[in-house]
Amino acid sequence: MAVASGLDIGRNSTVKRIAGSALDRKALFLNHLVNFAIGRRIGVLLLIALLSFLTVYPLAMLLYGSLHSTPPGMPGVLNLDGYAQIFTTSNFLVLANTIGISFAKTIPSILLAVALAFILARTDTPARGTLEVLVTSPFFIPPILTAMAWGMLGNPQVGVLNLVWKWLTGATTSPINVYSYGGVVWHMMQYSTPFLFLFIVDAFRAMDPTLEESSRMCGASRWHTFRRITLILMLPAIVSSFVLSLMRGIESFESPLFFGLPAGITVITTEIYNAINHRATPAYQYATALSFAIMAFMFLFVVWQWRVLHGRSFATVTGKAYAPNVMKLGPWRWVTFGFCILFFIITVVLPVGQLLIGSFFRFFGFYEWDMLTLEHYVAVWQNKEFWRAFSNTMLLGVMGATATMTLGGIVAYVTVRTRWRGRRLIDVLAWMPWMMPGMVLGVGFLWAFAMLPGPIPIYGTIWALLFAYMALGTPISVRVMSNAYHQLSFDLEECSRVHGGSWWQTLWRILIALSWPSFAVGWVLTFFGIMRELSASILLYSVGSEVLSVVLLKLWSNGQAEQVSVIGLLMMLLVIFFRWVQLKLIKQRISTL
Amino acid sequence: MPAVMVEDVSRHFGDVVAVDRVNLSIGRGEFVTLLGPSGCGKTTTLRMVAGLEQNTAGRISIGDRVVSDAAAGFFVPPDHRQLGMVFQSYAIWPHMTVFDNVAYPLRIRRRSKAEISDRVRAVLRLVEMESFADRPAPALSGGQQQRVAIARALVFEPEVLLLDEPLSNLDARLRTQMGDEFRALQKRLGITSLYVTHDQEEAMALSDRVVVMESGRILQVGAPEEIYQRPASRAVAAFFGSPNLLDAKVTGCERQTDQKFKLGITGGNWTGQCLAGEPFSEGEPVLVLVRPENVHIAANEGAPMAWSGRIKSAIFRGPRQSIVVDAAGLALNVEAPALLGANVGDQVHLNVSPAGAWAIRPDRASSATA
Repeated sequence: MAVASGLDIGRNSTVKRIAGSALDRKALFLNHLVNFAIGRRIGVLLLIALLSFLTVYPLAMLLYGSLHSTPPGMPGVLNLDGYAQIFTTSNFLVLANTIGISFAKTIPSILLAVALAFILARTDTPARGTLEVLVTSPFFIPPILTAMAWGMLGNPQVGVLNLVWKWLTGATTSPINVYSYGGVVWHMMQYSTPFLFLFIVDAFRAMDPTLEESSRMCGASRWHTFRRITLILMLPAIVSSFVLSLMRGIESFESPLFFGLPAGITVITTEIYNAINHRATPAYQYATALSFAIMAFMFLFVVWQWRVLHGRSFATVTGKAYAPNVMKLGPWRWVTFGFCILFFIITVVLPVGQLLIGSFFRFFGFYEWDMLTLEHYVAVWQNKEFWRAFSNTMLLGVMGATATMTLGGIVAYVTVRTRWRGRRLIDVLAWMPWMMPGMVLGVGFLWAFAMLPGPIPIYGTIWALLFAYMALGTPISVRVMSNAYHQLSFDLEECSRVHGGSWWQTLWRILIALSWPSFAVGWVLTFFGIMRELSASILLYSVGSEVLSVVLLKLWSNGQAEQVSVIGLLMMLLVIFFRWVQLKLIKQRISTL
Repeated sequence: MPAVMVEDVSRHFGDVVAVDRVNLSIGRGEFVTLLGPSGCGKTTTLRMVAGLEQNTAGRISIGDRVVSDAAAGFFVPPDHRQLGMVFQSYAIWPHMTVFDNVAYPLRIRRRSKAEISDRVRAVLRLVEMESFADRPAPALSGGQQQRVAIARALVFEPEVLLLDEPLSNLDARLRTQMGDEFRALQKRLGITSLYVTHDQEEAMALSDRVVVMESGRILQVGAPEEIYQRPASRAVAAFFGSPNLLDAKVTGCERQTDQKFKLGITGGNWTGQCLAGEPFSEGEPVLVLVRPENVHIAANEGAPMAWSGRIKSAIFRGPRQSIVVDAAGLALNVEAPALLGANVGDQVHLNVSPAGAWAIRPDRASSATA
């Protein structure tokens, strides 16, 4: 009773207060409303301006540059020479190489990924949780590190694998030459298999087990059910990740750079790189025209992916957490266990082990006791360029990841949770870098920064890299944050509004408070992305703004593979640390990628 | 002065009219339910009162304050409307404890720590959730979440409480219990409530008045008994249960003392008497509503409205039995006591008293009355 009367008193006082000032309030609210609407419009315009600077502007400059006869910043005329130069027989071979290699790596990768996803999501293989962490780990290792490690492992003269083989069999010829088509494909697979696995495994896991059970009840065998139900239901997820992996293969830079170029195999990214960095006079117009052409080509892929994805992609993912049926494998479960471990050994233990060994010997390839040394650690410690690159990478990583995730969080909010005017434009702008390879974006920004009016000196500073990283990271950050928002029902937000929370209070206390683990996971993902970025960095760095991947490449070109190993190990420590943080966060039950 | 006034309110989504010129006035302390099938506009109406949706025409006032006037371009956002709301999903914030959830509206209003603590404890005691205060919200059952959602909506003594199908996620037994408990609490606090449901029994058990909606319009507003026994149209009549709707002609009409009319009717091979809310002239066609539970199975033929026929089907439902009788081509639904033990094929006599039959104009298929 005491409570009831307390409530009554409160209500009466509220009523009096309102009755006394109804008119004032009306004016106040009108004011408030108008301010809010104007503030919102300005906010949306600012967002569009920022996103345009990150995407439309470099793209427009790419088009301009491809028609411009001289390098950025020099007077020239507009003509079509760049495009005329593209259409040569050798470029046709380049295109065939690019697409062929991408298919050659995607098909075995997807078979492996489906096998691994099935083993880890749907069988009783022991230690599946740990295995999943091991199997996905190559995804988080910068490809430049594994490329260098495999360059040492599979070197036809002094590679460890060849040495071991010769020692075991007494043969005199080397069976493995990593500088070949096979080498390029092999290296790409190590990265794309875990990438595809991450996409597919959730679809396997999110499947409603009753769909399979009802097939069994209709008299279908387990194998029949797998073929006709499970696999078909997985098909949208598999096909869409296949297309995605193909696109990533076309954009890939490290593998063809390390294993293709020495063997005379050129793909589009390395052709662009060569035209700018490895010719007596950099052929900017040609490189830019090629970049623009490849972007148009990627656009076709995006359209294809969009058509494949549309309407079918989430057929089985209902957002409900299922406990899928687990197949009992009996003694075979140790075979599947061994399969996963083998994958981990080949993709992680071998290359990282090579870096470890390489860092302690005076010359890699000459593994004698008297060659053991710590001199490379000392050399790296004293290398000023390394420290500068290290601090640049850290600074860019922290700033870039924070800025990209904040931008992604805002873009995702506007596009997923509001019905504001302009949100579709924002969505498209933020998604555009999805079809721009890092190399192409790098060329675009090269022109973009050179064309900025004089008093804005971005080119040659680390800001140039920051903008490129933000542009490259935005599609993923938007994806991570919109997934996070999708999981929160509108009620949670609306409930806060009805109970007195303003727009900002609701954003802060409900949405951000609920989705910060996703924010953190995305942050780490973006940080990884920045740490491993090579193709845009190599075009946009200048003395003083080097990053680790660029320094690694320079050392490698100078033949200092041993110092490369030391730096590579340091980067591995960073990777392990951040991956550990990320896994801790994911444990608190928030979505992965 | 009414607690909530909804005047000529509409809501258009492009060309689609979700709510069409709705008028409604809710008195202080009254419990009003919006009832209708899904897509009838009831939830949109509630959300417009809440300010979560903006009305495209009309005016909404809460207390003496206009909160939305489409013609004047005036709109008060939801956080300035001083309402409490219980959502269908309960919308319990999973990153907070029970206490934090309930304290949220007070913290937003910057009340003192002591006041927050006192009020939250008091309101949690009210819904019998005091001992759960420090639980993390995801560790609650559906019924407990519902209590927390009610506590949160009540904690700052809102002018009006809005409830959007709050019981629909509970199982049948808990639904009845929580509904009764909530109604008792609402009466005790005298809090004005606007409630949305698609469940007819729930609407009738809880409300002071029921608003029946269809296709964005109000069909009828009235006390539960009136809506059920004396519907204004065929649509309202058909909304509850599976009534018998018989075509008939008026043979006589006389005014009664309680503003009702007693009609003599004939349906071809049968005659009888029924009540109506308006006068009819002789020879006019009418639609006669007879609720299945008002049809009595008797040993012999009685007056004034009677049929005899054969039982076509009989379904045992526990407390009662649903029977369909074929009376010379007329299929009549009958709800009979289970003890009767009727069997398919039995020959039976059916009686309906004049109070159990209600006449409406057949052409008033869907026109609105308020």
